[in-house]
Amino acid sequence: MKERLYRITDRLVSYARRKSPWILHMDTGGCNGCSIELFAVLTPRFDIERFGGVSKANPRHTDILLIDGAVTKKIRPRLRRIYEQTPEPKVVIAVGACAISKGIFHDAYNIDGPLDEVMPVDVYVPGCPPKPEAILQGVLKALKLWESRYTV
Amino acid sequence: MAIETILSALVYPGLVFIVFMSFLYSGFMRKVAARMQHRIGPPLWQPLLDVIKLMGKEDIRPEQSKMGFTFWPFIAMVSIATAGLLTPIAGSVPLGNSDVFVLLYFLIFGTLALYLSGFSSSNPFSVVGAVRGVVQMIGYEFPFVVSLIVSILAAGSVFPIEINNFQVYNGWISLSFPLAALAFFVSLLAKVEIPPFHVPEAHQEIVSGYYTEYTGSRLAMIIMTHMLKLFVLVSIGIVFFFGGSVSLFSFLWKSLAIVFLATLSRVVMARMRIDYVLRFCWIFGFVGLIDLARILL
Repeated sequence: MKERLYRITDRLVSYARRKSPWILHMDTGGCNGCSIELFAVLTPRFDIERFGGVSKANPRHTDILLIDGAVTKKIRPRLRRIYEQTPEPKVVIAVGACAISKGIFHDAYNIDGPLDEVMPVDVYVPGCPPKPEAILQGVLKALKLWESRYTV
Repeated sequence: MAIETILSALVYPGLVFIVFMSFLYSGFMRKVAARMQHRIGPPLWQPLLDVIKLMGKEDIRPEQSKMGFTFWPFIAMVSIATAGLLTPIAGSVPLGNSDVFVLLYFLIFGTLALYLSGFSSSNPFSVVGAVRGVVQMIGYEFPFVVSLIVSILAAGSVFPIEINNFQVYNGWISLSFPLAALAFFVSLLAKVEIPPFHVPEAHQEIVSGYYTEYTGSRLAMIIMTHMLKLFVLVSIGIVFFFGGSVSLFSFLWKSLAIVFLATLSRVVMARMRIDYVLRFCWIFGFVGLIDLARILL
């Protein structure tokens, strides 16, 4: 009886998670090309809210961290801090070539590693910049990962 | 007899119904706002899913936070829900008859508890948001109380259920006292923090205002408080100005009409500065005073 109850709450919570991802968009430096494509995801044309997603500018309320741009030396400790401020079942998406592998900034003096040296990354969306469709697909893949992560 | 009272307090015009309706209102609001912006928008039950999701998240308590951080959101939710239980819904009061002042006290106390949660989380953003919220309270309580007094004097009773029945027999109070109804609607928008009055949680200025530090189930409580507040104020509006309601159908269409107007304001308006909010609300308070003078003289 108790196990059955647990299983039901598990399924309920994972269903609710799949349907309500709250997103934090963070630009770590770079050319803002990915940010423009990301805004297309958040605004009426591609409308993340039809999947229940809301853009929250607050790590405490966030479930999915959408991070784009090359990680500069200045932003690295702040990025780490934002990751730690986010409450636990969370997913990180690296958007664009710069976040995945430094991209065209790979030999620059002020770049401090790709994103997965700062925090564990779950989904990579390649492209320079990736299309909004690709970012949306990345978000949906992250949702699949996220729904089964530490359920009750 | 006893089982009927318990059922009316808990199920039909009671707690379950109130929570369900408040989810419905804010889901309706989000959907309509999305359609106004040419988006598809979330499903109607989206707020329920949000709350369930937040229940399953980590509950972080900052080291610097004061003791009240843990319990103020709960007190806010409970007192707003109690205010909802004291308002007549479709011609009957879930918790039995009581006068309008108790209702007012519960509403104000719930809102204050919300801002106290902001003060106790010791984050500069939440403190600024809470200060703004309290300043805004000074603004909107004046037109709110003035418009309620007009309605009370017009109906000749302090019991919400009697004002409701008065309107059912004698027509809408908002038709004979339109200025007071206008003042009420403005203070409704300000109380629920619908744009142009979302100053305490201004997303572009102070991260999320007074609930910046909240996560998990406490954030869910704060969000539920917002939704319940919308529900309570809409039913107060129906009882005091918009014709009252005897059947569930009239309650539903009137409340959804008010929520639709609020959504229109949410989509169209930009945010006001805090001193403008104060001036704007007080101007509408004096507009409501014109109707009060008309009823007294």
